[in-house]
Amino acid sequence: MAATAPACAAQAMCAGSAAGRDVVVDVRDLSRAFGAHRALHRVSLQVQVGERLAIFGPNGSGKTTLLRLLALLLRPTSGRLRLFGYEAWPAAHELRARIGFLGHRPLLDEELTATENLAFYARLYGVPQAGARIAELLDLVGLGPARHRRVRTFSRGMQQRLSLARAVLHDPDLLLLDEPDTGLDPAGLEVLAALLARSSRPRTLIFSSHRPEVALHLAPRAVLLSAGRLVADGPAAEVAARLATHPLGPAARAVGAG
Amino acid sequence: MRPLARWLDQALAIVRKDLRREARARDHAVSVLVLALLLLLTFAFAFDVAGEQVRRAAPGILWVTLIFTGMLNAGRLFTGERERGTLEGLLLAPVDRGAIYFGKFLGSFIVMALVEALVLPAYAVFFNLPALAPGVLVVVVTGTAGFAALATLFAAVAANTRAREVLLPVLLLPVATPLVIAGVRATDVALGGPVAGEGLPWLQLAIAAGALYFGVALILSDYVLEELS
Repeated sequence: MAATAPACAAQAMCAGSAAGRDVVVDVRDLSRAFGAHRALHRVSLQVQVGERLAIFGPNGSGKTTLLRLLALLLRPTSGRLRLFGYEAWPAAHELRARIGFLGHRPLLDEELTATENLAFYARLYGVPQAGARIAELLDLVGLGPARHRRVRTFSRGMQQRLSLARAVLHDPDLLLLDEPDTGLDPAGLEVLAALLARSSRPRTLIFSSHRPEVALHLAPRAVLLSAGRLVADGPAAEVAARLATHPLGPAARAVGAG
Repeated sequence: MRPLARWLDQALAIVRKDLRREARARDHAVSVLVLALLLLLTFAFAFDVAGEQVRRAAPGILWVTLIFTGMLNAGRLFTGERERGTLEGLLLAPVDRGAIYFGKFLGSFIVMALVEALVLPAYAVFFNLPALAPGVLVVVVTGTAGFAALATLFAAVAANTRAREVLLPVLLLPVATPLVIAGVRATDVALGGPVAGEGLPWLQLAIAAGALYFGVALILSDYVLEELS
């Protein structure tokens, strides 16, 4: 793997790091419960360096929960999670520097401008030459003219573009996107593809989508979640076909399109 | 960048962001200021300001005002971020949780100091007391820092619960009692003259309590803030 491994402050964090460096995400029997509700149940998955993986599934299938677990925003109830060869939670502080996440909320302060929001995150992530990087990203996502406008004046689509810029600001090795195509027009989808293609090194991408026709252009492999369980893993077109025949598949697509 | 320098830089980035936001939105600091002035006004009506009774009650009046406004200020530190949807952004980043705590504490302290810069003159006018004497200012600033240190930690604890509005004062007030008692007694001395001498032990107690709160909060911040998501 071309990316630099995080510094291991303690031997425990380095356990297993020598082996499996090409496996970025290694999930074994991962489960997460919220009270009595099992959002994710014994999901096992491996994702290699530079791989692009789509996650399909109807509403409530556990897509967001899985992505939030991988982003280290949630702790699993049980199971094992390794990222870049390291046990995830003992090395969480170092691993967070290598993960970019885009969720349902843009994670932007509406009283700050686009530039100020990105400058804040650049400082948190220690992005070198932040000014140039921010200017480049804002131009890339088509928000250059709006760089000094406060985010509360942005449309949903503009906020989504800025949030995408935020997610890739620190050039992460692992990019996790939760329905990135939400709120994006066709031009915005092109921006998304351009951003994903632009990286200084192989970037691993995992994203969820309600729109298989969009996802198929971005990822050759997909998994299907249903009621918190992983029920399919394979070529994206085949998994998308299984989604179409899923009991909730047509309804889910209708909701996603609405 | 060295680890400590980076830690400080991240904390200061949080402070700067919060203060910039507050300077533009002005919703939070104005609420705190209005509450403080209303409390002082209510007490001013409740007591005969010309009488001796108010002189004896004055330190307590000031600290009641500072405590309730401090709680209102602290209550928004993390719940405000959560409601705006920006808390996850902080938790996603490779930021030491202690740096998040310190940044929030420092921002809270600065807002309270700015509010007190307006409240103390009002207090001096309403109650005809030398509230701007150096000794009083030292006591108030010291007590505010200690209270903010504790309130920031408990605000993070409460932010993760449904009953956060109730839980924060329930957790905060009993633990803050030594600081509040010391602050009231030191203020009482300072309003009558130099705080050195009779007031010094109370000031020292306030400093010690604040330092203890800050140290413990810094140690616990890792665990408390990690649970926020």
